[in-house]
Amino acid sequence: MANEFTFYDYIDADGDGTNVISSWLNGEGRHAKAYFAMIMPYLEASSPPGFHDTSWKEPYAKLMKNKRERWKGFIELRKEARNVQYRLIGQKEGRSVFLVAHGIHKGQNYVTDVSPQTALRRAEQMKNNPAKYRREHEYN
Amino acid sequence: MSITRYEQMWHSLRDPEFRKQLIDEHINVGIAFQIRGLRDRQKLRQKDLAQRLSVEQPLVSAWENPNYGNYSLNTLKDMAKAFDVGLLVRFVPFSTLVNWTLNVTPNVIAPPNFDEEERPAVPLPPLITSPVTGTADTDVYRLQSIDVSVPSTAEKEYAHA
Repeated sequence: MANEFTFYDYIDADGDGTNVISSWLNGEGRHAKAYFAMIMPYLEASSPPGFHDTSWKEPYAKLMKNKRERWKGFIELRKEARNVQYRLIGQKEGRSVFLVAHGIHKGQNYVTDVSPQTALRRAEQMKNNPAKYRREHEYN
Repeated sequence: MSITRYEQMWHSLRDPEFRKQLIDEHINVGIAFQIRGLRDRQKLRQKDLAQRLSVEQPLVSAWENPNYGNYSLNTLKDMAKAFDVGLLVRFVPFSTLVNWTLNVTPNVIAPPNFDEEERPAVPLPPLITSPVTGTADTDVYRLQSIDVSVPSTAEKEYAHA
């Protein structure tokens, strides 16, 4: 049965060619790696937003708005582990979810690897040149 | 040639820390989604499920959060009874865990309860006499084709002979 959605990782094709999501999950985000590996297949199988039984809402995925205005329109997958809040940040278009950034929320500080402008640019690159900038989410 | 999701996750499993996390998260995420999914399928509000289980509604809300992860076996048994679905708790090889993780479908998230299985809206598939391994969706037994009719008089007599 085909998935309702597919997650894609951003590839830093203009830099060193790394999968920025996968590298984070194997580095700073390693304590949340299994959580994200579990929740993505569930979200991929979920009905789209607007359906009664959709899981594209809290506490499974959060649409960013209001509080962090600059990230408005992005979605966040969130996990707390060892008193640290881990975040994967993406943009959803149609049946694709483009994972473009990651973050950590510790105390009052919300630290992401890139600015919202860069995240937006990455999402555009993934849409416009998928062969170069995106890869289906990697579980290794 | 690109490697499959299964192969990718198997690579991750070579890290003992990831294996430990996966055991936890398979329960935490899987149960949270299943409670939400079953509640939706059976058209229950959190309040309704709370009443069935004699708990407060905020606890049901916590159970549906994938970061909760504090379920007791007794709670899970009570939930299975409240939803009228089966419950499997068993030790498995990691290969099975990976297959279950990567092959999630709506029916896995919210399985039919006994009444739905007894009176399916669409005809059930033919009898499978042994468990099918490989995906969570197919790892089921179908019992509907087993003949449970009352034995005939001749059969009873034979049995008592």
